[in-house]
Formats: sequence, structure tokens, C-alpha cells
Amino acid sequence: MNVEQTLIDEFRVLADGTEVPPPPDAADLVRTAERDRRRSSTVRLGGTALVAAAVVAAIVLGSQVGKPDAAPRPAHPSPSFDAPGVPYLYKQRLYVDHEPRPGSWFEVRSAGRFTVALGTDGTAVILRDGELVQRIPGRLLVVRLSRDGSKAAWIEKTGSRSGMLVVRDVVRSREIGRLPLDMTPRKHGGLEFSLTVTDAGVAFYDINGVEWRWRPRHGAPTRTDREPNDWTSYADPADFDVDVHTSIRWSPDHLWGAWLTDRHGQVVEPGQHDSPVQDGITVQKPNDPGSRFTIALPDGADGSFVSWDSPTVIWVQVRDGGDMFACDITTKECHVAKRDLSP
Amino acid sequence: MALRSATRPDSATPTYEEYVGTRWIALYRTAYLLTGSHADAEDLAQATLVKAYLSWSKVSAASSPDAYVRRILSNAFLSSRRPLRVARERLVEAPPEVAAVAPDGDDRLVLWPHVRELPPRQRAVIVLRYYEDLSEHEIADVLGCSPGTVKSTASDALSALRRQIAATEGTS
Repeated sequence: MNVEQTLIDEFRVLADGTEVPPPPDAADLVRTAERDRRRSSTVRLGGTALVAAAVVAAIVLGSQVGKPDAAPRPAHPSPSFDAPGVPYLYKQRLYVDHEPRPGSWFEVRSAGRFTVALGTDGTAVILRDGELVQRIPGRLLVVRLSRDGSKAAWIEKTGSRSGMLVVRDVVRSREIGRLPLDMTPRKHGGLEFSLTVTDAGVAFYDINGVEWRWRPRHGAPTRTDREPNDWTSYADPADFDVDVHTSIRWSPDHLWGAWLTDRHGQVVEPGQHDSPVQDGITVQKPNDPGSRFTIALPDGADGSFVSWDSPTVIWVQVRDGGDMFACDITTKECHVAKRDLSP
Repeated sequence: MALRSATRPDSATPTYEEYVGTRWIALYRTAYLLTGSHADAEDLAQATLVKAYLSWSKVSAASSPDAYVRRILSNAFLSSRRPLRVARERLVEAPPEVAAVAPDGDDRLVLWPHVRELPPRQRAVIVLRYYEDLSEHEIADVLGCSPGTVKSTASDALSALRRQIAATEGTS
């Protein structure tokens, strides 16, 4: 076989036969680009953390090879890794204190003293210290806990094109609110969604690339400033005593929030075309104003977007695709992590 | 129609909107060959056009806007620190796209499945060389490396493809 000629032929066949979707609306691209001037979406959150978690999981799961019946150690990348009573998932089985529980499970997440487990049949349970406190019937698509475990939120499918978002206070064991959702699938492709909930009970949900913020009992949901496919995780401003919810990014471990500030230490509202120079990153633990500090960006580095790369390192994109900086919250210093991204 | 065009006179300088409309298909096709996925191709092509807008004064002033945009596309593809579609947790109701749907004649595409398994930089070199029909020097300019690096990268890629084909034929 003439590999080179075959490549030419196959690429031609593929390219000519590829069904190309309609071009995007140029106006939409321009709007996205204008926002990128202030906060580029090129930086993705938490890659290192996800890889690290995957590695940990792979190591743990790999250690079980040849011992299918053994109760595995928890593949839980949290500080409570070996804490008794922290449930975990292994081969679709739910383990509590290393003992398997009945049923087939799809996903298990823990925060604080609480755990949510989503079954393969679409029902879910909420556990406290490993003990059942509530069963959630229905056909759930996703269930999440807030950072401290005090709030839970889930999305239930109620029809072919409809769903219901429910937010619950699991500490007080009472529902905070529920919101009907339009869950019409995309014309070409399925339904994509995600969900997070804050300790204050604010739900951030995304359906087919559009993110909404909903605070139960405070009216209708509102669109966030997030761009499609920008998967940064946002924090609740109430936890940080700042006034711009779209500016604050959780660290991967949800222990810190970070946002860009101007030279006066003020948060700059994203979306302002004439936003002032943003030359510092302010970092704070939630509900702990005393932990707040600001890392100065290098001279001339006008930040446009922040994203966490690990629990201690923040990436800062600067305007117009310039150098990217990595800022370490332990040393409170920044250095160039990647040279000018523009060609 | 690959993403290439001859140097054009100033009088033919397109607006950004015109460029999006006329070059989308070519851009998408190249993106598809790079990513091997329709979903990622669309993301990559759109991200490239967004970046092109941010540098439009340079793009439109370039002797070949397509060459400039090709650099943006290649850099965006190679600088993706993770696959575009798994950048963050994303849940889907139905199983995700597991493989690109090839056009008719799929069973005759003996190399394409192996091209998709190449490391990104090797794949980029192969696509730029055998689809975009660029020379080693042009590829080096696109990727910001030396022609020698392009040559060795292409050689590695072709060797890998030959090994895969030999292995496939050996098992059939």
C-alpha cells in the first residue's frame, strides 16, 4: 500500500463526504469574541485535578484486578478518603464502611456528612453518615450536593421534553423549591445538562450549553454570563461578600474562590466594554473575609479571565490572547505559564 | 476544498462576516480531520473563528488570511490541554457520540481509523501535509517549529500507520 497516496485519497473522501453543519451566526461569534477580550474561555478548569482524580481512581481500581469480590478501598479524592462511613462506588455497587449495599448504582457523591447516590434505575438516595435518610423516586438525571453537603439538588425527567429541578435542604430535611424545566433535545444530538448547587441553595444548571442561575423563592431563573462550553464552576457571591456572581471561580476542591479585581481591589463586572484594568486576583475562603488576599499580576498583565488549574494554582489569561500566567496562592506569586497564544 | 487560497489582492479583502460565510465549510472539514469528531470539529472551528475575530486586523491584512486562520486552527487544536468535549463534567441523556460517522465508503477507509489514534501533533502534520497539501516549510510555519521537526514528525506518523496496517493485515 502506498500510505501517502492512500492518505490523500481518504482525506478527500472524508472531507467531501462530511456533512457540514450550517455556519455559525457571525454576530454570535463577534459577541463571544468581545467577551473573550475580557475573559477568555480558552482556559479550562480543573484539568489537572481531573487527571489526578482519574489517576487515583485508576490506581485504586487497578489494585482490585484479580480480586473481584474484595471490598475495595474508596476511590474518593477528598480529604475524607479513608474516613469510616464515607460511601463510595465500585462496579455499580454502593459501599458503606467497605460493605456493599443492595442495588445497582450509577454515581455516588459525598460532601460533609451527606452522600447522594443515583441508582441505575433513575431513583436516588440521600445518606447521612452512611445511613439512609431519604429515597428520591422518579427518573432522575442528575443529583448533586453543595460544597458542605447541606443542600441537594436534582433534575428529574417528567416528560419527553420536560423536567423538574428540585432543591432541598438536607440538614433540615425540607424542600426549598422546585422549578419546571424545558428539556427539549437539540435538533442534532441529544440532551446535555449539568447541575451544581451552592451552600446557600442557589442552583446553577445548564441545558444544552446555556447556563441558568436559580435561587428558589426569589423568582424566575436568570441567564448567567457564562459562554457555552465554558465549564468554569461559579461560586455564590453571598459566600464571599462581593456583588458579582459570575466573577468568582471555585477552586477544584471548593475551598477557595478567586476573582479578578482592579487596581483598587474592586470586582469588575464582566460584560462591561470599558471595564477598567484588572491587575490583581483576589482569593478568599467562603464566609471567611479574614482569609482574603490579593495577588498582584505582573506589570502590564491586564487579566481577562481566571481559571483554577489545581487547588493551589490559578491560571490567568490576559487580554488579546497575550501571555498566560500561573499564580500560586501559597507563594502569592505569578509567573508566565504560556507565551502569547495568538499565532 | 481545503483551507487554502492564493494570495489575494487588497481589493478582495473580505469582511469578517463574509469570511465566516465563505470559509466555514473548509474550516470545518479541516477541523474534522484534526479532531475526528463532528462535535469537536464544530467547537474547534467556532473557537478558531472567535480567535480570528480578535485578531481580524492582522488576519485581513495578511497576504493569505487562510494561512493565518490555519495557524490559529492548528494552535487551538494542539493547545487544547484536554479533549474539547470533556473539558468539564457534562451529562447526556443518550450515549455520547462514540465514533465519527464516516460517509459512504467507510469500509474502504483503511487508514483513517489509525490516523485518529495518532498523537495530536503527528495528526496535525499528516492532515496539513496530505489534506492541506502544505510543504514541510509551510507546516513548520503553521506549527511554529523547524522543518526538520516536521520531517521527523511526519516520518514517525507514517511509520506508525504502516505498522498499524501491517498488524491489521497480519491478523485478518
